[in-house]
Amino acid sequence: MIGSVKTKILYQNCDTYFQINLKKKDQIYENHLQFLNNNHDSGFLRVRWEKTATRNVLKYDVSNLIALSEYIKQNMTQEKYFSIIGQFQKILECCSVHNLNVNNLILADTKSVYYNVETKSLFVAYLPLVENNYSCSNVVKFLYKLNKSVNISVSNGNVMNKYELFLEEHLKVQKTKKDKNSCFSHNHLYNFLHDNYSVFQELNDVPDMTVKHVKAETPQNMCVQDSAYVPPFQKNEQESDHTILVSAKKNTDCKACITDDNGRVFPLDHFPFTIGRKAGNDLPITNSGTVSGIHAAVTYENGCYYIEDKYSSNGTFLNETPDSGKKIVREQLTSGDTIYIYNVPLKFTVNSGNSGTVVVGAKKAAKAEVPTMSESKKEEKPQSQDNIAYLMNSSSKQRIPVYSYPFTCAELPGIIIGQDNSGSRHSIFIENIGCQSFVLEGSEAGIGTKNTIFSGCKFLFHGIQYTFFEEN
Amino acid sequence: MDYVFSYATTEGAVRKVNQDSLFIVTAEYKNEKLLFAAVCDGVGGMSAGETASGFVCQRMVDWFEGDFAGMMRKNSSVLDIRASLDEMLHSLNDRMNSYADRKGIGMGTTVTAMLIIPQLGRMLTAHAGDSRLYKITDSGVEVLTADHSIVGQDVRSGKITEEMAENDSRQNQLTNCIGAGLTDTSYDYSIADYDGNECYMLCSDGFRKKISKDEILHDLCPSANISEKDMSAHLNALVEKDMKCGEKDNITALLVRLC
Repeated sequence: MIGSVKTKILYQNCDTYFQINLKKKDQIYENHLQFLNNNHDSGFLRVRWEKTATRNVLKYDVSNLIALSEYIKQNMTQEKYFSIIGQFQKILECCSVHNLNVNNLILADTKSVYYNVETKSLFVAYLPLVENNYSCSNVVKFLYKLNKSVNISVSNGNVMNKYELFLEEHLKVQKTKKDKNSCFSHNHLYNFLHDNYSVFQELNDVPDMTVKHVKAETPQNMCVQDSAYVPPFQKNEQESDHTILVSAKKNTDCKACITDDNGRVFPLDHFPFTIGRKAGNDLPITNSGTVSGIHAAVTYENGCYYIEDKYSSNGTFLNETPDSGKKIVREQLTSGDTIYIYNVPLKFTVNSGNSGTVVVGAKKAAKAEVPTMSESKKEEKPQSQDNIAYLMNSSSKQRIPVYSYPFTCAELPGIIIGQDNSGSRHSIFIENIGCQSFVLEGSEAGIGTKNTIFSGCKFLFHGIQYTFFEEN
Repeated sequence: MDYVFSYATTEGAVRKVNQDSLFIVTAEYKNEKLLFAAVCDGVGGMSAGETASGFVCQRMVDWFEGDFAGMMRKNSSVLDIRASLDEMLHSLNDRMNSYADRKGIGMGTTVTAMLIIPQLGRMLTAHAGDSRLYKITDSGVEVLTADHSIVGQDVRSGKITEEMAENDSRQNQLTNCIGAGLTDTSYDYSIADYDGNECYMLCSDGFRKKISKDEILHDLCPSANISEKDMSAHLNALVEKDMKCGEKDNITALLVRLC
């Protein structure tokens, strides 16, 4: 909730959205919508408007951006801070020039303003509404809050004090006003910065003001979507709280996620899921110098999650801090594990809670829905070096191992044990091709007979009893 | 041969519906008592799970009273009996799939069944899915079925140990069951000898996940379960324990003591 707007953060596929729920009757001003998407470089978040019978939402693309509230947790220089304020001034100015109402900015909290660490640029969300009844913008209060929460290594205390006074003064002025933003414009901020700080020169030098939109690069064919493991039965599934064939929760609910120290949850919705200092990572850790550009990745194979170190400088650790010195290369993850990206702890969890029973052997589903399933979910074939069955001599208890079918052995001349396959259905048979005295489970089985057998079946071979056992 | 048996079943602490089904039937033929029992753990939302497990149980009882009785009269071998049971289960599979297709739903059920035929001196088991059959004597517990699940596969192939399997997050992934759109799969059968003073326990995965083999041995061994009352008390105590330990699934267990 920001002001009176309902907001939430959505993760969809590889993208992150900052979503605002509008009231049904809210009307969109199309020109502004277009303007926002054309002027991303000026500091406006790209936005998509989705309206259906039941929903009226604005989805701001915040992929690869971090909330300003997160960014300012790190210590920053005074110069950097004022360059951010400078950018903010530019955005306000841009609003004024293009007749965008400052009241329509989502400006109540540092959480709803975004920052691109790589291009060092600030982005705000603007409500492209014809009529705005949400009071979610208070520029001075926002700046004041930002100033309170930011961590600055002060190089010029005088300016910092002045800036604080400047904000406090404006807070007082606006107290009596109904329209909070009416008594503060981009010019006020400009004048302050101009008089007190030479950021404008710097600001013009800020590289990369033309923003490159960095996307996480994940080849589509490597994506293992959550839905890859469920048969296509979910059409009518509504109840998610009892045993079901498929997980009835359709959204982007992921089986596994990573939680950082601040409690932010990153769903593992595609693989490899990269972690590193660069903003383009699926889980960027931008504020730590000890983290490599691409430090590690989480992968998913055959139903298991793995953490892999990506040749990082300082190493990745699992359940042990870097002090242990036990760097890992690739390890399987289990729910509850703590991954250390050098010294940054990340918690790995698998949500097994609600998900119902899933039949992964559903061949039909595999063919119809997810061609990648055959790759990711190969059924384990019995390994050839292990015996698949054995025959036990009931009196001597001697075991004759069966490694493969068809099987014959010196102890049982004239007898073949083989496997019949029809589709994926298989059955084991015993065929008598030359034994004069052969009794299977109490019935005579003469030469030329072929019978299906299974674990526990007994037969008499020339009066000697054998039992056939299939290994599990 | 005589039998003492009891069962416990509950929808559990979380689920609203019990999708597990079970049955125990006995019959007398030529002065010998036969026993047929099974536990089915249904899979599928919108009441499909309980429909599936109930349907399979019902048809198995019908088979026991019909086809099987006829085969006993004809002195059929255990091989023929198994073939008939297999055919019946596959036809249930096909019927369930076509029903589910028509309704556009997903439904399936695990099945673990035991049939004691004193005339042949053998016990026949049939199994698909992750429910289990345990053989419990006073000296030990043995699992007679192999779980048809991803976790079960990994344990058998040696990738993970049984201890690791208990905490594995993939508990709910089945590789085989009746229905669920599966065609041409094979179910597991085995025949075994049996003896007096042995207990056999059939259970759904909800029952056994939170309790150890030692607890099963302690509470469900033959000497501690002389009467039906003892059995019922022990089973219910273990079910309570399951729920206390946080089991969310339906819980079903069926215990038979041979005497």
